[in-house]
Amino acid sequence: MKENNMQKQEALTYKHRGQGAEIWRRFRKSKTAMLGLFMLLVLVFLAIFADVLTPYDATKSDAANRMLQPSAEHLFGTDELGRDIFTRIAMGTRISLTVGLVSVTISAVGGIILGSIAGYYGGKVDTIIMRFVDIWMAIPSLLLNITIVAVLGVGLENVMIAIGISNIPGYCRTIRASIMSIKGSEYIEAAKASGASDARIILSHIIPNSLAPLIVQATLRMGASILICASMSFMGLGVVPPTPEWGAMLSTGRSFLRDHPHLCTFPGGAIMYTVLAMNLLGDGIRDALDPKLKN
Amino acid sequence: MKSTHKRRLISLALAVLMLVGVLSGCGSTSTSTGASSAAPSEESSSASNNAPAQAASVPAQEGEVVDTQKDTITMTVDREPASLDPAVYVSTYNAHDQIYEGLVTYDLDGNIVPLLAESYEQVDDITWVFKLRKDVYFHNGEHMTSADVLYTFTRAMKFPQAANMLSNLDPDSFEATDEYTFTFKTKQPYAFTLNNLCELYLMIVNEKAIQNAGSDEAFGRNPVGTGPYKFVSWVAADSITLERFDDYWGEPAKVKNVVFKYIIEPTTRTIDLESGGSDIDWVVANEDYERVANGENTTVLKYSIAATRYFPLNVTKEPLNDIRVRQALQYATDAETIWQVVFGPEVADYSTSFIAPGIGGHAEGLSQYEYNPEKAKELLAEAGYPNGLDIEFLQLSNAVEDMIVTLLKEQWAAAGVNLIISPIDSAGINSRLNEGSFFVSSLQQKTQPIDAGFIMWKLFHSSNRGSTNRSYVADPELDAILDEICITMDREKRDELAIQAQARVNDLAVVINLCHLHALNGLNKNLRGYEASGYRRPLLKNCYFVVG
Amino acid sequence: MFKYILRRILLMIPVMLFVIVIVFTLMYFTPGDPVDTILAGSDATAQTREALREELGLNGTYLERLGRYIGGLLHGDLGLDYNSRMPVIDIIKVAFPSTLKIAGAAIAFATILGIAIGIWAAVNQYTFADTFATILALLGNSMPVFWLALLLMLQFSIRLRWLPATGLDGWKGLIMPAFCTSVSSLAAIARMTRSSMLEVIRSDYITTARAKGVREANVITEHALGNAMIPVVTTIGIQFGNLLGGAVLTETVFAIPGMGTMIVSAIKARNIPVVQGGVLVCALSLCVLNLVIDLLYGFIDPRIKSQYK
Repeated sequence: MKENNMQKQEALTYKHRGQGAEIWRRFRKSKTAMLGLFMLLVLVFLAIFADVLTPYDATKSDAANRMLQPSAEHLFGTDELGRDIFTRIAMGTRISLTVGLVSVTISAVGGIILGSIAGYYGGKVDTIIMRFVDIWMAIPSLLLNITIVAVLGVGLENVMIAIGISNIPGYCRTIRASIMSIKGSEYIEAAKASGASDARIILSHIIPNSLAPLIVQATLRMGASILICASMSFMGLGVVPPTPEWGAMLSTGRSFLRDHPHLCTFPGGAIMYTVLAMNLLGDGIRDALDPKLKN
Repeated sequence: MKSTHKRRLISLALAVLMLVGVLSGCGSTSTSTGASSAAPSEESSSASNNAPAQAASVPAQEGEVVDTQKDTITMTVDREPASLDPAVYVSTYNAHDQIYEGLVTYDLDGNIVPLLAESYEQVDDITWVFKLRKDVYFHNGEHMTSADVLYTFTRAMKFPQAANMLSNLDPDSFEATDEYTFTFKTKQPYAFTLNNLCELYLMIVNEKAIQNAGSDEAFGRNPVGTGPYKFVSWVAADSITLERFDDYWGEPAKVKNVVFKYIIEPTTRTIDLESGGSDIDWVVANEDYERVANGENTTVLKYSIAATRYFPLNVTKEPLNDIRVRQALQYATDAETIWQVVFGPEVADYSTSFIAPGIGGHAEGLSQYEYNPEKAKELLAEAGYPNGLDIEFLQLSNAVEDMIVTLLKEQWAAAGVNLIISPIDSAGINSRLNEGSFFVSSLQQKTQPIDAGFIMWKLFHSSNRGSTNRSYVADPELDAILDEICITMDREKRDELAIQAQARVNDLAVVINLCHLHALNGLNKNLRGYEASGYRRPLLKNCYFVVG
Repeated sequence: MFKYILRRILLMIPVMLFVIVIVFTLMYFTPGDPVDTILAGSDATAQTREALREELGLNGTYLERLGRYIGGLLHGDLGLDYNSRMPVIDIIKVAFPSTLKIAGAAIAFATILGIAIGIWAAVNQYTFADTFATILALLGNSMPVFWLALLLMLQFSIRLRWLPATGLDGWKGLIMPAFCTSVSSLAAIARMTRSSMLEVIRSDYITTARAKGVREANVITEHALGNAMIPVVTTIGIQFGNLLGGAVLTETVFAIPGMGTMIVSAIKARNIPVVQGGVLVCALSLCVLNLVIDLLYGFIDPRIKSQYK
């Protein structure tokens, strides 16, 4: 009796307080996840304190001090117009994090809506939506990005919108595939039998269980968005000068790659670091959220 | 693996045999290394006002041995022509230069000399008579006569871009007076008639070849000309291959094959040159100048091509219609800093003259607006802008323009001018420029032919607003000088008029000069006989390799 | 099943139609005149421009131009390049095989290595092997491709002289472009394999299989792998689809005339027929790819197969 009570209590506390703590515990267990979190926190720190970290201005040129190698005065050296690269990288953190978040949000929201409806209802609804998605995906994403930016105009906001829109199909397909696998399973049958509405089933059962692949996709995408933004800058469709966006810095630096590689190393490294952080973090979250691991 | 070794040994043996043969028997090759090092660069850049564009060549040395093994010259270019039909406007012509020839051509110093014509005569103000060479054959075996010249001229006038440039020729006057004589008239006395004949549009083509091709488009992909190289193949977006034409009327080309490779990325072109994948890089990136110039196997040729970078100020837009505002912008600009930082002294230089140094018509000591932000502020206040003003800048989105506009923005800010950057891609910018819907922009002019008078006419005559007159200037005094240029046959007199025109342009302050850029050709160190100048692009028939 | 395939193939037609309309509309509303790009640098007058516009069929309403294009399509005519007047189909005939070669090599490499890494990491979760494999796969993915391409070219073409810097001649010319193109796909496939395997490994029937005493290796290969593969196949499909669009940056650096460069330079020059033709070909190949992927789903998971009616 006493044991039963204790178990019941444990079960109750588990249900109320334990979920969050349990997830965090599992997250902490993974070294890579913690590494990713730490890396991301460094980025957030840089983004917040970018303008007070150094005495230099990210956008003001200084012709006398061009292309200096990294030193005590200039941690990352200076670029082709004499600006301190470390300052620019730090200011660029704000831009990159924004690009990642905004574009992924646009894609994910769109993808989830479309994918859940298609996967859950199946039949004609599925066919129509998936054909629409097929068309979407059939157009090469870079082409779509470039054309949307050409129509809307050069600039960072439009690049974010373009990236967001062109990535919706990927999310849609993933969700739909997961849902189709789950749909036939027993507890969904049970939920239906017990009279739960379609919307409720989608929201409380299907989406949480499809969450893991979605999160993996989202974090991978956030890094990819930053890379795509860099590609757009490479083609002159990204930011307006002298904005310190990493991709633009990499693009300008590539002309000097052989004699002054530090112009590319640091923005390239920053992009790699950020994408890596997002990915490690995403993996960690996915592992921690795993619903199968009840004990 | 083994077979590669074997092959290497055999080719080595052959090479040795050939070397022996060359050294002993075919003695002429070693002497011609001396003769063909014609105009070495130093001599032609004299200091006089009429100094021609610097010619450049790789000097041959004593005791060098011709490399008879290497049978292909590979040149990398940054652009692919739309067509190899000479009557079609294209922006890149290296392949055309080897395949086609015209009645006359430029020499390295910009003088016009006969080519397919044996001689010519200007009979009166508007009439020209050309006597043709009798020994010229086309790549398809046909013999060239005046019928071909007549056909070429008439055909060219059917292409709108060609007809526009050749608008001073009178098509009704084209006449093949006898088998080797061609006559034509211009509509009025026109100073640049012979220059027109040097244009690609009037490179002589053969009627039969075009008929055989079936259509103009097909001919454009299967060209037939009279030049030292004939067309072999064209892989779209990749390469164009040519081969020596053995029945060429002049001295046949030295190296059998020529390949033009199309590579957009400048760094890749440089790497290709360094790794031996190519022998000539037509456009070396500014940043790679040092590296290619000092490279183990490479060198750079630098010469003036009268390319001027400038900022046009659109006088039809307020407040740029006020000369004081324009002058203020001139005073607010520190061109020296910009071109030193963006291009560097190896690659660019500056003058107060719109025409580059080394070209006839370049003006020394023209009046100038020195960098003076305080003066700029004064002028702006006078013009009614005591608190400064905003100006929109139409910027082509690429790395070089980014740097230029960033520096310019900072400079103008010091004079109270807020430069608002309006970025646009390459397709969009031309429409805006042609419509005149912009205030200020950053442009590079590279006009053909390189004649000071012609350039000034193109850039500043009121009739060219909406095409090449980017500042939309319409000044009667300037127009009068430019009109006079067009009827002045004597080149020296034209150059003097061009100087007057430049002085007037400076007074009107309609453009801000930034700098002059040089052409940079990267070469394999073992290449000989390569000569180019702003007036005449290289003829690969004279090129050959020596053993390194 | 056969009816399903047939239906899907027939459905491709309206899809293609929609793609054409969307691309045409996008290009129609993109500012910038193709004529100005073609004539840039020449001294063309307004009349010349107008004449050229007329010749290229740029005048006319939206519907007129769209109708003309679709009409041409029905005759198998993809139009002519605005600049060179070369038939678009001929341009594509050169560009598509290059892209296919690179994409094929890249996806093959990425799939084999990616799945292997993913399984290895999943099976050894939380150990050093997992961390190492994960970070390694990710590093390649995080690196900007053109930077990687330039660095590779510097190392292998200049310093070591092992591989040609440009072009796709032979297998040597394929290595660097294919590798650059494969790294992002590699990471995606590895990660999806890993996460999918992890999910499946913890599922009930795996626990049951283990409880029944099935050998671990068999548990992985026979029971886990099949179910884990579905999201992985999705990922492979998506990645291959991306690659078929042409890897513009890699192609630019290695000077390979593939679909990516063709379409992007056409957009920049507003060379509409080339854009439309290129996208059409990409769209068609993607539709075929999607069908193959969906069929693979059915092959792997019988539950899905039953839904294909």
